[in-house]
Amino acid sequence: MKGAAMSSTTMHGTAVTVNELAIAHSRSGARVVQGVTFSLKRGRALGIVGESGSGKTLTCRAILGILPRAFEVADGWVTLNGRNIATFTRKDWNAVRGRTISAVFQDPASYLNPAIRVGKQIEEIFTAQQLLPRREAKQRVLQLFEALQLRDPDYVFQQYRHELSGGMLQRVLIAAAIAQDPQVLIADEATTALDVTVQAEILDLLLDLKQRTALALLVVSHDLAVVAQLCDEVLVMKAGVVVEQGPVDQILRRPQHAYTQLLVSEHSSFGLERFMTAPSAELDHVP
Amino acid sequence: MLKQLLQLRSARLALGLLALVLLLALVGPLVSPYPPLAGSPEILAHPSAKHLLGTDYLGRDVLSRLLSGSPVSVRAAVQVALIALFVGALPGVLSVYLGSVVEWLTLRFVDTLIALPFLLFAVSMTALLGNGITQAMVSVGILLAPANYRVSRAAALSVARSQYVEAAMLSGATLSWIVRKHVWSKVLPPIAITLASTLGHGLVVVASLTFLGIGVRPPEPTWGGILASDLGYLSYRPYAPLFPTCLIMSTVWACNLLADAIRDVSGESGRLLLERVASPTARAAQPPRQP
Amino acid sequence: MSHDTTALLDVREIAVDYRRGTVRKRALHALSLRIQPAQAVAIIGETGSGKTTLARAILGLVKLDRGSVQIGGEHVSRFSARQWLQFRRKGLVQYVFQDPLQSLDPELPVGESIAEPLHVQGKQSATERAAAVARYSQLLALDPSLLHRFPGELSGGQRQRVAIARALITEPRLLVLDEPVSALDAATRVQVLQLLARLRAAGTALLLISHDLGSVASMTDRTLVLYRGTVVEDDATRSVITRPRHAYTRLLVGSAPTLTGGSLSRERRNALRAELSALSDAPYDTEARRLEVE
Repeated sequence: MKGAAMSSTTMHGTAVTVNELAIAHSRSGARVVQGVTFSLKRGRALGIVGESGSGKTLTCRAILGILPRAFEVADGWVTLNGRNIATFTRKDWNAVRGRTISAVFQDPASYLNPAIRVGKQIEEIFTAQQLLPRREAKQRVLQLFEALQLRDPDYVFQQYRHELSGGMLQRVLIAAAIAQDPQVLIADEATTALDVTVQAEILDLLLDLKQRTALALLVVSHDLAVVAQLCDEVLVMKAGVVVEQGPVDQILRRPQHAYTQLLVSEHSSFGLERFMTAPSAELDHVP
Repeated sequence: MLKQLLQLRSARLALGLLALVLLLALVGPLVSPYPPLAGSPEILAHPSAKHLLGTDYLGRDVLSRLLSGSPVSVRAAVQVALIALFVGALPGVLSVYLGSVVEWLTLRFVDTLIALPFLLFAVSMTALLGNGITQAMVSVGILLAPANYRVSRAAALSVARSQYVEAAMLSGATLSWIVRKHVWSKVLPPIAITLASTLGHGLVVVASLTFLGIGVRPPEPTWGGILASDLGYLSYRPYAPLFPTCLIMSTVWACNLLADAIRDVSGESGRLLLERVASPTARAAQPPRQP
Repeated sequence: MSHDTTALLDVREIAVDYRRGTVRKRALHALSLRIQPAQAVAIIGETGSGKTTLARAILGLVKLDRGSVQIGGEHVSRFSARQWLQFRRKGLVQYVFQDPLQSLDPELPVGESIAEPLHVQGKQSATERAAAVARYSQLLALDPSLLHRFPGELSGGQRQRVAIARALITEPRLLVLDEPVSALDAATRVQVLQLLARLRAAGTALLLISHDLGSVASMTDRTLVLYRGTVVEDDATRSVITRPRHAYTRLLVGSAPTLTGGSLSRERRNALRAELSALSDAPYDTEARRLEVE
């Protein structure tokens, strides 16, 4: 891989396996997601593309074990590092969340308490379970901020959530998500609410994390281009089913399903591609 | 709104109770079996066929006293509510539309009122203005006005700053159009709710004041006053306080129930609730969304 | 230039400040812009760039500290409240807000919201209004049964179409749209973009405001790029994309994710960002953020 520095001890194991996952309304039994199958390996990125209602968010929530009460897993199974998550007790989940698997979502501000300074809230990750004393926890948080390219970590630490921009907040939340070095990170529409220049920065960061720490990335977006930029493999979902699945290059070059074709043609007819005769300079797409 | 309210069982119950109390207030004195002030040699009698609720320490029929005391208590509570409405709710809405000076003045005035201790203020007012129920009620009404002010102002403010009002403005709508179409229906429910609970609150204050002997010209019967005198003779009639207490409590409860019901039928969630009430089988989940 | 008198929208050297207490922040610096009839112009800028302020200044929702705005030859920046009211009644200019969930009255059926601008004008009967509502909802592919529903019951895409229908019902000559397609799904986005193209062909001028060049590039003849309250690029859209001059525009164009994986490498983007911060003030413009209205 171009320019990447992968340590020789990096595992290439499978982090998450999903097999024929089906999700249904608890009461009526009506299925809202059906037949989702994929496996996510360490150091790889998998994307799920779909509109609202396609089932992509429910799939993520099922993997994290946080399905809304109205829904339940109706079929199939999910394994996390080889263990079936259906067997997880609350204690198991507490051990796993944040340490093995983590997530960032849309609208970063809503995940932070407006009345507490941001740094203190992230510090809680370490101090809450007495993992580290306060001062060390603060140092760790500052290190994380720096790693996520927040230029003045001390400053950011002291701010309240309303004093930080969307891009900065999302970086803070990614910091929180990777604080305990999880193996899997789910990014569910993590850049949707951000300006396009900021989005590019965040996507760069995620790519960087993937390469440096062999993080397994699950990127969910309604924008095929975001997924194309970051992922090796992609699933296209519509109305709860996977309509197409495969390596990104293949899907983009030869989309089979009508919906995928619509997504691709939308970009070529209305996006910037229309104006660009040839992609300029280097491609940053990791094969 | 009344039509929607009547669809809720809780509202029907509350309104029914309040209508009963109102009836009591209007015709109570007329239907009392004995003159309320007439003493008799049968003091501290237990309930019997002759005196349905017994007699008090002067031999006066308790039922008659309660019935005759109704107009005073109810009227006083209504006075409180009306004052709260005109001194509180109305300026609240106006403060949003009459400019920053009016806004600042009303806000500071209301802040001052909130800072005053309740019963102390009422007591000092009666000391100043004389010992009458109306005087006491005016002061209580003024003290309860700030809550109404804040609530109605908040409701008016959130609407005034909304984007849909801005959108109407951009289409060339006048202020009266905006108020009629967008503001009114959203401001009325919070005001109605606060008013209903102010009514209940006012009643409790009346009862408290008359219990303490303030605002009462003895031997005129009032619910609170009856309760006070009952407490002096508990060893003879230990159940006696129950009667005025039940009366007060159930009226206040009806006021709060009504306030809750108004809140339940207001706004978006109100609409959804009414739909569910209308057809309990259908609409168990959200209506289907089309992409 | 002889253009001056025929321009539909003529914004000249406007400046807008935001004040909160004693703090004063200039949101727009000496900005000029002209739109001809049936022309489509895009204003691209990030959060805090001043793009929404510009739209609000044009619409008269914000006072100008300097400069003037003319619409259809009328000096709207000098209007009194009453003059604005009469001008707005004509329905020449309409605005589509960014978030239809907030710009539609949650307690009015959407059909009534769509009809409101006509209703306010008061020139048509109820039947004529209903016919207009039917016509425009059909144009926006809104099922008639939806007209009785409330905004909370519709999907995001449907709400956006309702907002657009409301803006079109007075047949405006200038339509200002704020992030028109960002909240829509792929199929709806295509529909709306095609509709906007038809409108333009029929003679309506469009002012599209967005943070994402890609979403509106295909629709527009000209693009202005706004950065920290100043226009840093003003050219034909094609030129802005293929030959951007200012560092920010280059960053913008290079950041947009494309199916081929972004046209600029990470290193180039970082270099551009460094170039940008060298050009302007502190990297964290916290004052701007606190005073942001966008």
